[in-house]
Parts: sequence; C-alpha cells; structure tokens
Amino acid sequence: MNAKGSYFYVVDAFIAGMIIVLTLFYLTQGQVSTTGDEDLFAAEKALSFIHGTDVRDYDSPTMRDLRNMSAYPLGQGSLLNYLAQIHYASTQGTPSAEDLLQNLSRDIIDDVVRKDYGASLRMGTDVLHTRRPEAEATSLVHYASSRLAYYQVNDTHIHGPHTVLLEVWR
Amino acid sequence: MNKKAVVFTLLSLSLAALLLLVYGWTYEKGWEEAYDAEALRVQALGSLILDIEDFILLTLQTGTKSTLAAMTRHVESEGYLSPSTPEEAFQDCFLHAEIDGVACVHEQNTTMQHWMDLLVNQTNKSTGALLQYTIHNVTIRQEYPFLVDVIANITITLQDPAASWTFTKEYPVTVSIQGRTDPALQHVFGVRRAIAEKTPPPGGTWSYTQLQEMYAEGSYRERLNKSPSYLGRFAGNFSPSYCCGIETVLPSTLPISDKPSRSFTDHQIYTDAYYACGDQVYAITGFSDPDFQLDREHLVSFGVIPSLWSNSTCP
Repeated sequence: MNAKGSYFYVVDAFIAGMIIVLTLFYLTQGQVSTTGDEDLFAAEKALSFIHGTDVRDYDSPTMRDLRNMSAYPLGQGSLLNYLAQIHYASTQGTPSAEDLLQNLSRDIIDDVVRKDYGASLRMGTDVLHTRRPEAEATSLVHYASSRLAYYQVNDTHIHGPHTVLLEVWR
Repeated sequence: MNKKAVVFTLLSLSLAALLLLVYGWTYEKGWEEAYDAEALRVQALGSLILDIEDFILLTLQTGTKSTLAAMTRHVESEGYLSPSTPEEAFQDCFLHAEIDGVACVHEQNTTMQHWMDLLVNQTNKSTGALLQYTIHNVTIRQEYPFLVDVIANITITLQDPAASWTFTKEYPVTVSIQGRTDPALQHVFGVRRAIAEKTPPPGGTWSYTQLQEMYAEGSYRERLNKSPSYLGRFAGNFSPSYCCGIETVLPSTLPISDKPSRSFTDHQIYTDAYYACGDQVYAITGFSDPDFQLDREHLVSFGVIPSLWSNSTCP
C-alpha cells in the first residue's frame, strides 16, 4: 500500500466513526426528547404535589386570606387534607367556605397544572374547580389521578374519606 | 481512490442500520409500554394503598379514643375491670364491643371498624377495586404517663384485574390520654374530669402556686413510682407505677368520710389512706378550700412552706 492508499483508509475510518457517533447520538436524543412522560403523568404529579405538600408550606392569594381566618386553622396535614377541612366547613354551612374552597382549588390548579392544559378537581361528587371546561369534550388526551382525602373533626369523628379526582386534558 | 478504502464506511453503515433497527424497535415498544393502561392502573392503586395505610393510622387513633371512652363508661356502670386486665379489656372492647361478657358500648359511628367500612365502600365505589381488611388483634400499653401506645395487627387485601395486594402489618400509634375521662374519678364520685397535664415549672420544682392552679384546673401531674397509671385506674389498681404514675388533687366538697384524717390526692382517697390530723396531714393557711388537706410528703413536694401548714381542720 502506498502513502496515498493509507490516506484513504484514514479518511474512511474517520467517516465510519462519525456515522457511528451520529447514530448513537440520534438514538439517545430520541429517547429523551420524545418519551412523553411529562404529559402521561401530568395528573399524577400534580395530585402528588397536593398530597405531599404541607399546608403550612403552600402560599397563594387565597392561602394568605385563610391564614388570617381563625375558622380554618392550619394544622400539620397536607394541602389535600386542608381542602377536606374546608370542604367539611362548607358541608356545615360555614359562610364563605364554599367560595374559599373554590378559590383555593383554582390557585392550586394554576400552580401545579400547565397553563395550556384544562383541569378539573373534584372531592367526592363535588366539583371544586374546573379550568378550560370548553376544551374537555374535544380533547384527545385526557389524564386522571385520584387520592383519598379526609379531615379529623374531633377525637372520634372524621370527615371523609373522600376520593379526590384530578383530571387534566389538552 | 483505493476501492478497499470504503470498507470501514460500509461496516459502520451496516452497524448503524443494525442499531437503528434494534434500538429503534425497542424505543417504539417502550413508548407503548409507557401508555400501558394496566401499568398506570397498578401505579394508581399503589398510591391508593399508601393513602389507605395513612387512613388506617388515623382510624386506629380515633378507634383507640372511642374504646377508652367506652371502657370508662363500662367501669362507671359495671365497676372496675375484673377478671380482664385493662390490656385484655381494651382488645375485647375494641374488636368485639364487650368486656367479660358485658357490652362495652361505643359512641355511635366512632369505632375504627366504622371508619374502615366507610373506606371500603368508598374505595370499592370509586375505584372498582375490591378492598377488604381484617383486624387480628390490638394491644395497648403505657410507657409514658400521658401517652398510650397501641399496635393493631391488620391484613389488607386489594384485588383488581390489573394486580392484587395482600399484606399483614402491625400499625403502631401513640395516643395522648389528655382529654380522656379519668375512669376512677368517674366510678368513685361520678365526676367526669378530663385528664389535662400540669407540666412542672422550669427546673422541675413544684410550687405552692402550681398546687393552687392544679386544684382550680383539676389537672394532673406526673409522679413516677408514687402514683397509679391511667390504665391501672380502669382495674382499680392504685399501686405506684414506675413508668406512668399520675395524680390529681380533689376538692373537700366531694363526699369523703373522715375528712380531717385524709390527704386529698385522688389515689390516697381511693386507697382509703388515713393520717393523723395535725401530725401527718395539714390544711393550708389561705388556701381557697379551707378543708383541703395534704400529707407531709405532698406538702413538701408542692413546696408548701411549714409556716402555712395548719391544724385548723382537726376535730
């Protein structure tokens, strides 16, 4: 083999290496960018946030109002069970409880569900808040997640358990 | 150009095609798996089980309080527990609503089983999965004066076409006895007094002021190895408890015989202890209840100075 022939072999090996590298890059990038997990678990993740967040750590316009109201003391429970606490108050006819419940639900949905998604939060059979309801019927993709919520009224009485259902659509 | 010099390119193209074929197929398969409704269902039910376990702990607490209240009513109507111990009675009352063959009446809709039945109905209705539970046994014990430790052995079964779970676990809770009615005071004098802890001042030395507060509040203080425990009171066992002794003081207005010879702590009255008036027990000058007396040991323990010890109540 002469010097010119060796040169072609080197160029050939370089091109071959580039082909392999580009192929691997395409495969790994493809896996990461197109899994769709974020969409798939949108409802699950949002409801997990509501379930796992201590109510004292959550801030929103309605929460700031609630902190100043002695009728809705903040315990050590989750944001989800705090919703059950206000839901209990609304079932007892406490003035403004239903409005506070809907406003807090709206704050939560705005915080945890992407703005371009529609969403609905229900406790038992009560709809707490719905965002972009007009898009629900035409949506092709619809995700849902549910958890249990309850509120300890006193030593021996519990409000609930209620199934909290979060539905998300786009 | 040397024709053999394209061999690496050809080989790499073949390898790239192979990789795309193998991993491209795997990728498509993974995408479908991610949308697998069955896998999502299993995940949702897994979250539900976590919620159920949290709810079990809450209902065990409410069930414990309901059972202690029912046991207190049982002692009020039937007398101190016998032959069952408080621990045995707790389990029988919790699981079977009876103690030694006599009904142990819970307040309506307060038992753990009531709340668990609601959970079962709710779960079965909202998820379509079949939830069942069995409470095998419940134990109660005390290690601290104002707390009881309860452990329930429970089997949970959740059946669904996607997956099934069956597991048996011990669920422990610690419940404060504060707010519970003192069963002995209820039984002996018909007085319903909720237990509230009087904490010692910084440094742990009790004062006359705190005695006055305890009397006014009807609160209880920790007295290890000198007073009976909360659970012991159910069985009329007023022997000192090393771990869990508590005591309260009683007003002289209660129907107590031979008042000048008595020291007005609850367990000393229950055990019918008598003292020599003006020698072993004294009233306290200026105390709100002029006939209230305490023995020397208690007067000292409350920091009542001897100059306030009075024999004015002695016959």
